[in-house]
Amino acid sequence: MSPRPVTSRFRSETPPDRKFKVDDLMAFRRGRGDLVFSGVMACVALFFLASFWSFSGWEDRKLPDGVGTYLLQQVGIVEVEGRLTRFGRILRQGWVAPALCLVILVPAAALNLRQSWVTHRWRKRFKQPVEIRYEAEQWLRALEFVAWFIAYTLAVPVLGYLFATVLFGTALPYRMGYRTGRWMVICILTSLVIVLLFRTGLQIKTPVNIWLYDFLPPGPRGFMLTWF
Amino acid sequence: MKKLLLGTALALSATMAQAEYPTGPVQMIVPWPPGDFEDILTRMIAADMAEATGQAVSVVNRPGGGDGPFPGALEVLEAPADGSVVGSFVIGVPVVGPLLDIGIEADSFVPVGIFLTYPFVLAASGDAPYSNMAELAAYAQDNDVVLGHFGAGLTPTQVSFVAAQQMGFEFADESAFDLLDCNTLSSGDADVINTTLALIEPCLDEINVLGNIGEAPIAKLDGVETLAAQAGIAPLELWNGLFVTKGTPQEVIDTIASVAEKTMMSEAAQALMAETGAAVYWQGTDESLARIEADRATSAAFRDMLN
Amino acid sequence: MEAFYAGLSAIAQPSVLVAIAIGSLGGLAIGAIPGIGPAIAIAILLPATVFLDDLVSLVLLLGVYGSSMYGGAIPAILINTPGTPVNALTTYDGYAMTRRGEAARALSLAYSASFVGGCFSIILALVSLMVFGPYLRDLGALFGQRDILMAAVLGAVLLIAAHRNTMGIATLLFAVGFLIAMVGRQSMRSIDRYTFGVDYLYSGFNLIVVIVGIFALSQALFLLTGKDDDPPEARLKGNLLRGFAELWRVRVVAIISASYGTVMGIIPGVGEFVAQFFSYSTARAMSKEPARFGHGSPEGLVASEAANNAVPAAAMIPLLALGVPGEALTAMMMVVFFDAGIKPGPDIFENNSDFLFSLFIALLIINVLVMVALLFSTRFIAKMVYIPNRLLGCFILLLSFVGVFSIRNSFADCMFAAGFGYLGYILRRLDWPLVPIVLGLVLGSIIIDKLAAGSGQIKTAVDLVNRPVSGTLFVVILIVIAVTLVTSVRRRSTHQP
Repeated sequence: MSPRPVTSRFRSETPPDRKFKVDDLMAFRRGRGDLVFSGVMACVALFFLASFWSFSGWEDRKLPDGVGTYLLQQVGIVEVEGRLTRFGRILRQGWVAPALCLVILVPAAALNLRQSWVTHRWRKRFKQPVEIRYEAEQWLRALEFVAWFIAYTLAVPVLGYLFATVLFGTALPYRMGYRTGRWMVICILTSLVIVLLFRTGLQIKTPVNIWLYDFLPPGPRGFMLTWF
Repeated sequence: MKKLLLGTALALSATMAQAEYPTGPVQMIVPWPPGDFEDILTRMIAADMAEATGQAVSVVNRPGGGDGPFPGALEVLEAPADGSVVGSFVIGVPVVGPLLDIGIEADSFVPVGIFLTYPFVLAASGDAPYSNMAELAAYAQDNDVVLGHFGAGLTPTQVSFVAAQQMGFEFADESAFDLLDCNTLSSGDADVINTTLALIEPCLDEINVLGNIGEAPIAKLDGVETLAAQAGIAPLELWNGLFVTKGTPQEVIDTIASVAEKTMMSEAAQALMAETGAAVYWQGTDESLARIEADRATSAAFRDMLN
Repeated sequence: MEAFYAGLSAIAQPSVLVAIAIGSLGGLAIGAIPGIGPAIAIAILLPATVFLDDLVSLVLLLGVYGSSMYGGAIPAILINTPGTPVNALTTYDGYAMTRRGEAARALSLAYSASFVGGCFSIILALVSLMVFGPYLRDLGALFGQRDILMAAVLGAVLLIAAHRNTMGIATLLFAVGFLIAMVGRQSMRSIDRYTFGVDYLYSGFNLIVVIVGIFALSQALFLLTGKDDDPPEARLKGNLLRGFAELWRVRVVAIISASYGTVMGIIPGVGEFVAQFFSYSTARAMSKEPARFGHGSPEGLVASEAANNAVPAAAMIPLLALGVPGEALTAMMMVVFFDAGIKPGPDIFENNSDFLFSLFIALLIINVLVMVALLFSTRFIAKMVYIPNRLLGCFILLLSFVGVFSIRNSFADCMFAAGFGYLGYILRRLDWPLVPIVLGLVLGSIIIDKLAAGSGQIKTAVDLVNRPVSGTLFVVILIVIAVTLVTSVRRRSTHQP
């Protein structure tokens, strides 16, 4: 049915004789770049820990006097005379959820960083590749496509959903190397089907003010705004 | 499919004539979970509007997760002022909203019209040892009574607190729910709940209704007096209306209003009124504005009493 | 019984039947294409369903969910590439059979095993609805806010425990999801968490933005930066009906695996992988020829396919009964429930039991329909595999935009979706699991909500656990944590890093 790419032929990433073992189902190996990202996550955790004190409602906390005794009393270890603050009144305060979350997040981030570091050292010791250059290149390459996505997002209010989709639905595949006339026809048709299905059929909302459509007379403009 | 084709044909003829509202699908935002009167009636309006205009009109529920109607209201506020997003709001949005410093100003929303007064009540489970406000006041002196409500700042909650204050008792604690129904009482999540009749309809025989919030007793509830009468406070009604953002063209408001008014007069909506004790009617923009003004004054007086 | 007929007649509308057909046939194709799975398809379709009827949109998504694993078995068996991640184990025996020239036998076995698995859990659900339904009505009173809170915590604990080899990472990512869930401002309760004074953050992150970013956009980036596969020629000869007869000989394995799938599906946070793992291991232990496992054993193939396909119907149960989704796809469907006007949770048996019947009957129809469709279209669907990956990436990228933008007309949403997409891409590159983030977000917001709503009745800390259900769940949580800690310490002492 769908023809193979004519311009480029690659070897399969999954060689036909690769064997899948039942234990592989849950297998996991920390690869290159893991340490860097684990470090980033640890920094994120620290950042949220640091901002906990001023951005979580901690400043407006209402705690009873003698928090220690209060907590012991809550689980029935000590008896306290007199009227007590209801525990629910504390649980309801804004800072409780962030506190709960950080209790999980910070240790998990630290533990993960440690595991990642152990693996990294292990790889180094057994002369396994630890260079992250390849991985970093991949991460940077992906940014190009993030830019494509943002460009498409910005193009829709200018050109309208129909034209922007057809434009990007052909330009992006062209950029990826699907350049023959046949591919272009397939891409245009696919883009049209997407527009007809989502915008015309399901009436999904797209931007309401479209620069290009403003040049149309009111009748066709309304029609284009409604259906494309 | 047939519906789609029919819609297409209708819309084509409409758009060919002139590009008038609505030019695209319309969303009506109900800032509560589905099931209550505002949801039922807004869905009726949406269906009628879809039929009348040939555009897709959908109702979207945006429960606020403890923050009542405000997250939903803010979503409407952010939408373009072209009628593509319409809010179905309770009294709290225009009355309490401007006090909260969240971007809602007194004139942020323009009422298209008010169409519903809730049969709002204060109810307790059937085995509770009290069946009216006076008995509750006596019981609450020595026992913990927990109130469940839709949001601490909202009008009905305020009324309940004012009533409690005037009758000389206080609730041991209170918490905000997205939905207060039979299950809230039967599961023991709250001892007394502040809710609308629609949500407790299935278990009405098994619970105690302590009083209703509004100007007059609800005909359906025999022997239940208003909170205003029981506690000697000013009556305040809880209503719901359709709102658009400031700057929305007048013809948009007119189009929505003409559809909604017909919906409210329809047999289905009026039958709902007869069956459930809700009041269903239509008040246009000017009447609604005056009503909001009056409610703001009453609400301010209540706030003074509580502080 | 009344509710059953009401449910049946709701299904019998033309629009619902069309949605079932489109959903299940689309799901077949989506499952068969290795680059995309049900999660991506549902993430993209989710916003579109706002404009559809409630039942129509739910059966559409259920169709995709229920049929994708059938489709995923095709490339797994023919070219050793699982169509969806949960078909991974199918390659083990399925491809070995293909190499022996028994592709048709393997496919028909896989189809029939999937069918048995799917129908087993659906029929079980339907029968228990009919038998216990009347009693479940009174169940609502047992489940208050604190009980649901404990159920959500249990879901979180099980989710983490199920990531056996990546427990640290799963915990970390769950916490990140939890963090995303709490961002926002609740003015009435003067709560302001991590908004840093940024307007956009006041209303918090929209679930769909995160889902589309993490699942769909990230996969687009992953495919675009990768290479096109050049899959080997898929040869398919023979009769696709053969497997049904053969299934009878391994019926015990099929039933046991389907039971595993059902049980694991019901337990939140566990899902297909663990179900497959257990059923495959059990099948091997029970087999007379354990050595053939991995070398084209029909029992192994059946164990894998019957288990994974029993999960979707079962996974709907915690969502419907408690409002607590157990895995990513049901978490997405929760959004539809809300838009549809149905509140999943204990009351659903009382208020919407006909709707429950509709859903499960629809699932049954989906399974039958897919089965019939596969008998005629396997050859055609097998060709989907040859759509180049990077081209798929292009169109997933474009489709992600509609999904995100239509939620609330916000370009800021699109930018944040791009951000989450990039995060998801890095996680995919590192082979870190994605599901904990999304479940962290969903379960996290349930935990936050229930904690606030339940707080009224909490006088002391003991009130959190002194109810029959919440107490039981709390004990289960403690047991799961204890068992997990003990086994992971024991494994560490026997394994190298």
